[in-house]
Amino acid sequence: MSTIKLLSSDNAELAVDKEVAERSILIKNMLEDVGGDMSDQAIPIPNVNEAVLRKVIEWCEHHKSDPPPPADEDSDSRKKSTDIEEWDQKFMQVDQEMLFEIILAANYLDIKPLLDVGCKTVANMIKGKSPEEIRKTFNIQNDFTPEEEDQIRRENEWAEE
Amino acid sequence: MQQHTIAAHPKAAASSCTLPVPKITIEEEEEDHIRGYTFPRHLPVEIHLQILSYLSYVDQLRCAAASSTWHAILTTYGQDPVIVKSDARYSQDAIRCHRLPFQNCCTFTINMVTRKINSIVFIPPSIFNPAGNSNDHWKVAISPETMYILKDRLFGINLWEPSLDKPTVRHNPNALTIRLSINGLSWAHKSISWSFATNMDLLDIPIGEFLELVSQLIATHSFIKLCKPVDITVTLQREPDQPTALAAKPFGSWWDVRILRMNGSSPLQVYRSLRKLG
Repeated sequence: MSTIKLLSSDNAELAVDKEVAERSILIKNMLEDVGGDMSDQAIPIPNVNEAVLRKVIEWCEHHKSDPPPPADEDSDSRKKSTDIEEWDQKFMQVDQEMLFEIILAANYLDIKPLLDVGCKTVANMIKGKSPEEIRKTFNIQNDFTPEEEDQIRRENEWAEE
Repeated sequence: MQQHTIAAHPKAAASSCTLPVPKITIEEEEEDHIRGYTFPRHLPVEIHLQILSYLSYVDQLRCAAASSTWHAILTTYGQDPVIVKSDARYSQDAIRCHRLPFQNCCTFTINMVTRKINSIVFIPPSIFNPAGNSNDHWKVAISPETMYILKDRLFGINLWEPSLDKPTVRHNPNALTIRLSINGLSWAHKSISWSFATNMDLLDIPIGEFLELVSQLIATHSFIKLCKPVDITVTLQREPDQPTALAAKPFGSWWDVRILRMNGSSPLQVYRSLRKLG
């Protein structure tokens, strides 16, 4: 099995099986473009640091035998179930910064199943929460302008009457 | 709402984004770094849409109330097929009718000024209201001008097919019927139907326009006209007009609009006050 090297944004070189790396459509296309031979030089992944890249590779290794996701966006597998398999749930038990970095990396590297798992994880963190609880969960600043806040408060005050 | 810029993660510039993603300023980035929050401003819109597509419409409404970024995204892209086609808004197997008036019923408090809807507060069905929380906690103020969900079609495709939640109900293929009832005033009931054949637009009617239709019906009611109502609390419920599933012919359905309160009082109290005034 051939191995390729990936170069993270912080200049760490990581060796990974080609089959594993090709879970990334971006890398797969790059390898196809150069005829599959990248054994002598590392592929730069400028948007992903070492820690995140290691996590992504860990996910790709675990899922290397998975069938490719269906191309049809409207297929049954695209149903909006937020069920996440147990291994993926544990994999996603990371701090929020890492979670969002993984999502961004999956988006950049074009690893759709990993992107799906990341987005479902975030959606599950939102479900059933009030707006204030959502803000607290994600440390979101209340970024409505004072005028907008006034408007919302007036609407809600009126609703409370 | 002010025009809000939707931020892209600086690192996402090389990603496969197809939607416009204005960049955040260096100052905003520094501010975020100092405050230590990275979400939701730093994600591409596509990712926001994917996250939101997994949520029920009630959770989507709460996200819009939690963050102006989400509010802007949902206002701008709320009709994106990723979201509209998702199960979040329409029934799962038969995309036939919006979930907004599904479940047992839902309640709107509609503030009307001279027959025009000024604001709407949506109180989700009790299924979304876990025990121990007051209704107030779950109220959602909906801006009739900007709230994306009001632009959703009331009816999806496959209008004539039964849906999972009420399998015995078929929509009346001939007309949209609204039955207006006023709590405590049995004589004040009113029913009106609009034929689909002569009102083809009704097949595509957005929820916001449907609520306007409801408010027009309310505003022209002879009793309510006397009261010059401003605030009206209504429940909206889709109901079959026949309870049995045994009949061979397709059932019609109607929309129950029940006026619960008028200017903070029960309709009966309002009626009694008016009678005292002669």
